[in-house]
Amino acid sequence: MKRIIIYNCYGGSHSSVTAAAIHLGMLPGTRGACNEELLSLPYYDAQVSKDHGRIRFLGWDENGNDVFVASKRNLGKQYERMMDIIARITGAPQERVIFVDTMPYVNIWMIVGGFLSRRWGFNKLGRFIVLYGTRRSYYKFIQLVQQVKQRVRTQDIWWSNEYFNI
Amino acid sequence: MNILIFDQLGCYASVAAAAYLTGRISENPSVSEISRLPYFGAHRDLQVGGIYNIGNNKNDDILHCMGTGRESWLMMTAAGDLLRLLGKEENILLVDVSKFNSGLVRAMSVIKLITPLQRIAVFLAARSLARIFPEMVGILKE
Repeated sequence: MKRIIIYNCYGGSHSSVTAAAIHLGMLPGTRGACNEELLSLPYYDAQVSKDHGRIRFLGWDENGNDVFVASKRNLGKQYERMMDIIARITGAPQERVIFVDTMPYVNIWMIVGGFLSRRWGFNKLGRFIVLYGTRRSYYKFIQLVQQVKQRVRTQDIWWSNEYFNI
Repeated sequence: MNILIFDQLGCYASVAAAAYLTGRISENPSVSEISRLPYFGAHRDLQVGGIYNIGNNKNDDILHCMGTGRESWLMMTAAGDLLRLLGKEENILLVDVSKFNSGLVRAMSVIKLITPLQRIAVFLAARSLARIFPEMVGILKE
């Protein structure tokens, strides 16, 4: 089953974009990323307030799953729950959409830099700080992406009936 | 088809709107009619994300109310995008009535959590909604 994987964070601009890019192989998965690599990502440090809530397509992963980024502002964990309920109401299979919360891996540098850059318009200073923060948390994002891919693989094995054919 | 109505806690303006759509109340309901609606002021905390199934309307559409806190506008966008991704935009109609919950209703939703004041808080919230109800009906008819 092809899945819709939605990485989400407060503004959909830094941590979710970084994790989604690692997932898609747009950023290295075995070493740290440099500033140029991060800044070259689509949507990195580019969201504005009116875009909040939009689910933005970033690419297809190696298994053909669609990978998206989204912002959820103050909804926190409830965002995933509410979107899951809405998906269920439509009758979509429960495993079709995977929401990945990247907020637990956001550090204080990313918060301060993100606010300076996106909310208050101090782009240069904010970007400098948020890049530093992103690089500091980078290996945590790699680990998160590995867990997500593992989860997708496990579900694939389960749903492809391989367990039952042994 | 499903109709999903958003407001701050999913149990004030949204419940009244859903009740109107199911035909339980008229265009000019009394305060007691609103305050006695099932799920009106049903929240037990201020947690968003609560969902209430209100019932079906005459076209057999299923009505749900959902609490989205102060981010109803964001959920309208996000849910709309999700439905498009799933190819199910025809299955759900999204309605946001959070703007009809006045400051008084929002204050009463907090005071309602103080057990001895529950009834008066629900009554005052219903009274505030009854005043603005005709305006909300105008939006719902659209």
